[in-house]
Amino acid sequence: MPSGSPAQAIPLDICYNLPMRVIEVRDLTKKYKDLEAVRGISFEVEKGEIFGILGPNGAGKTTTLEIIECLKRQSSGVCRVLGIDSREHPYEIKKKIGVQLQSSEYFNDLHLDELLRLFAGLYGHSVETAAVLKLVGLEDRAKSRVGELSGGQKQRFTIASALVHKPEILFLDEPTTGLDPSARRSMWELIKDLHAQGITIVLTTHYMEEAEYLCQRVAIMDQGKILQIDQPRKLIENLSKTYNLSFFVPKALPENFFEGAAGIAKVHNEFPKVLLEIENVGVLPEIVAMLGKAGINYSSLNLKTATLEDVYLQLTGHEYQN
Amino acid sequence: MSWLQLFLANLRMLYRNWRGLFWTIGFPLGIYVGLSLLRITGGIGGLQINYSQYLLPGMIALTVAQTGVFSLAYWLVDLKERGVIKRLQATPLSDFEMLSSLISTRLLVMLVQVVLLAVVGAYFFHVHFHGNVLAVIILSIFGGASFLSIGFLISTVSKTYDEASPITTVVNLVFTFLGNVFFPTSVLPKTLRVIGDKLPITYLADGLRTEYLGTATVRNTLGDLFALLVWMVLLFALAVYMFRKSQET
Repeated sequence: MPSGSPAQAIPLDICYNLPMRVIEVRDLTKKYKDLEAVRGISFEVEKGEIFGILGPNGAGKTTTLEIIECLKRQSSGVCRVLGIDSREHPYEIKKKIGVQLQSSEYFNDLHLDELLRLFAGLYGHSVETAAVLKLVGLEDRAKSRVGELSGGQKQRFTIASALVHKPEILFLDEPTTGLDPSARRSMWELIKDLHAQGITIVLTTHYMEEAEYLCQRVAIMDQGKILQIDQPRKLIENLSKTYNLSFFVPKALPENFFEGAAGIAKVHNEFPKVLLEIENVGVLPEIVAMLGKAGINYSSLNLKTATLEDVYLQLTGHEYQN
Repeated sequence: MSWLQLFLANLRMLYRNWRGLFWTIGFPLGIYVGLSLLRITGGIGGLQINYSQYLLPGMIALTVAQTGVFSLAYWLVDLKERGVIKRLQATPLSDFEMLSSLISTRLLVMLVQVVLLAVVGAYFFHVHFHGNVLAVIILSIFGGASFLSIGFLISTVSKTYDEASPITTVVNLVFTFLGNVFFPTSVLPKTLRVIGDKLPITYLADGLRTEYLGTATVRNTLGDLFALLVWMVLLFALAVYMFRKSQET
């Protein structure tokens, strides 16, 4: 350092052009009387990303989210949102985030536009209700009540109510659970639209394909712990076995049937289904020939690339169940 | 500001839900008018008055109690069960602001009920007020706050409507029969009288009645006020404590 020039404290993310952290979670735990819902998790969310927490029911996803949203208090650990400590200034955080809860309802006797105005008022904002309703595709339902909406519309409205104060981060807790496939699609498009407008989004889901489609990064959570965090593509690529070949057999195969065959990483011989993890597609003819030579009348031959589901299977050692 | 927003939104909902409002306000009025039309006369509790005179202050007390206990408990439990309370907690509104705003709308309903009963009593049944207005106002505030605390307490300890329902029914039953509303506690069997004499509604009905009839003494009024104050402080503290406890999870 040249003498005479005082060392200046320049924030690291400006110095090195690092992405800005909007959420920082360190060693977070949440204990209930007889249950440890969250068992020491740490992660960060960067500005402008869609961050997904993926895991089965009871994994601790909602508890984690509700601690960050300042609806619950952690048992230990640190949680900072936009640099604000969640224990010290929960109301400051609440002002800056938008929250969609897993199954929230609204007052029955108010119209959608009145509800939006009420929620904006609770944040000390005023709101252009027509614009917000248009954003979520409900522009012609301003005078409806929540009870008159379909499942997908209601879910979109809950997002609208979380957007009235122009939050920097939007939290979505299982935004597509219980929706039919077309409503789910339109919800995905809405989430992508919001992301394109620069809102950071944190969502939980127990749908693998949802996490794969929407999220830049995914934390896989199981039994209160985060098992791995990465881009969905990288999580899948890291699996050594890239393909799953499966078929059904009429009679159980002997345990050592595939012994000696090249290119098979692992055999799951669970009659009537046989699943082979193979490293490259080139070994496929050889396997088909082996089965043919032994006179095995296999059916439903299926070859697929690994998915997040396989990543999950590998990380937890048990199959993914919703 | 956000307190007012929520208050006004709740008023709008009350107005939209006019059927519920009609019964809340109309029912006690109907009971009072119906019983008064029976023209029951003769001494009640040793007083030479007609029944509509005796009943009006009791009916006012019972109405305030029912609105506080029933209407608040059911309403809050419904909001809690459907996740509305939690959704409001996700906004920067503090619990105190939220609850006081929700409760204030019920206070307004109470006020309307009391004024209507008093007007109907005075206009149609010539039950006139002969007491101290300030004493009545303080009595009503202490009583109303006690009953709202009971309603709030019930909504805190019950997770669902089904849990709240039997508790409110018991409270209502006890208040109606032992609470000095339709008949004086002196006619109760001795053991029940011990309970009846100590209920918050008994003090409120007694205080209002003596004020109405002009038989209030300073000693009597202060006694009622003090008893209601004790009830109010106890119930409110318990309600806040239970609410805090329920929020810890």
